[in-house]
Amino acid sequence: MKTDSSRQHIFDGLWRNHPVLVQLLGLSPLLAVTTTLANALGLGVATLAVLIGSSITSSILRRHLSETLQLPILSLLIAAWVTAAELIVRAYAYPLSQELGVFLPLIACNCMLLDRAQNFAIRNTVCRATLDAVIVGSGFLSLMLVVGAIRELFGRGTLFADMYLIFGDIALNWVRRPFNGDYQMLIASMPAGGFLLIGFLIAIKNLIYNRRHRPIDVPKPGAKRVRTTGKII
Amino acid sequence: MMTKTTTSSALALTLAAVFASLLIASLEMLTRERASASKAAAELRYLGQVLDMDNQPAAFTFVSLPIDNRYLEVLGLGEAAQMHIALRNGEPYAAIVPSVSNTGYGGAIKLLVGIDFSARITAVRIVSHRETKGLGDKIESQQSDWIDSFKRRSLNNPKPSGWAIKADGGIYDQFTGATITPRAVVRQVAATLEVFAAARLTWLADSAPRESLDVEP
Repeated sequence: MKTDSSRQHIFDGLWRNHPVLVQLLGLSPLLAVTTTLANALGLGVATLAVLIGSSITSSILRRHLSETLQLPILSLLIAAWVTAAELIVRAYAYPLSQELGVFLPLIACNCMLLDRAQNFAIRNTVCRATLDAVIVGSGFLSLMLVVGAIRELFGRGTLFADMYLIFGDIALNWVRRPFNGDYQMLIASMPAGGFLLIGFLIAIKNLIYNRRHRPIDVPKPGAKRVRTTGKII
Repeated sequence: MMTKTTTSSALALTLAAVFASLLIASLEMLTRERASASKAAAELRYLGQVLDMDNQPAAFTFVSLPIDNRYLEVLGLGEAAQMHIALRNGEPYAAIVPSVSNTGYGGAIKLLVGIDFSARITAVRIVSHRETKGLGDKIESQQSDWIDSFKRRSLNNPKPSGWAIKADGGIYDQFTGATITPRAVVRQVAATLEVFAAARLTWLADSAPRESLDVEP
């Protein structure tokens, strides 16, 4: 990633090395809260904000991080940003904080944050670290939105329900019911349905990617990580 | 070389700790007021829903009273809890009683039951539950209007034998695939009405507007 242009970087974060679709990071919040678009938006934006904050601070401290203290310091920074995010959500969107419950503080356990801090932010300038956080965070957020929209549509037959949790009373009438009548597909609301959906999305992603890039992606011996759906480049 | 790295690491750890504490402490101070206001507003909205008056909760003021110990068991409340009396123009209008059913399918179902002082239910709302998604969760007002079948009911309407789900010979609908959940809710609402009947006069007397607590929206 050293000599990549910003464009290449954006392509990597949003597509080729997508944090969830390729690296399978942050699966637990993804599956737990994306039963509606509103929840997905809330947690996705909170994660994006925390990622930006933690990347900036990690990058600032990068010259002082020794190998031994790297992990505790980065964890401390991430935890601080998560607490900050939680305080803000509680003050400005109290109903959302009730809805997200424990998954708001659990952002701190999203491996994506530690991955970006450890593998990118502490090796790059503040500017590049911020850009990276915005790109990777947006990749995560956009997938949250896709999964949230699909699960809400099929699981509850609605779109934009509960948006008032975030936007207040003006959003009370945003609910759309694209299907006629009472429509529910139970499995879409349950974690099992979330897993299936992620599986299909990964498959679709790999299908498209492999069609276009087959010649480039020759797997090298000795993979960096085991739990991935493609090669992390 | 060794000392240099150690000093540098110590500096980094200190900086990170100071930064973390400052960030959290200052944000906590900045948002404290707003957070408690949001919380109060959310609670007021909730109380308003139970009063079936969600458009004008501001017309009410609320008095909070501790619930007498002898009612706690029937209400399913483990520890001391408070109930609220809604006052309209200073007159007691309704009691809002927290109540917990422990006979649900997935653990405690927390309810909030609004009962006006003519002993009729204004509305019931589910505060929290862990019933099966797609089956038992129809007790939520967002999922179906089942919970509204309690509106304007009282201990005599229906007769005591009617205070059950249809499968048990009562008047309340059960859900396809879920009878335990609605049965638990119906029983708990009836139990709450009985507590209200017993405590009504005490609550009326105690809600005389001496320490009425204005909750700003």
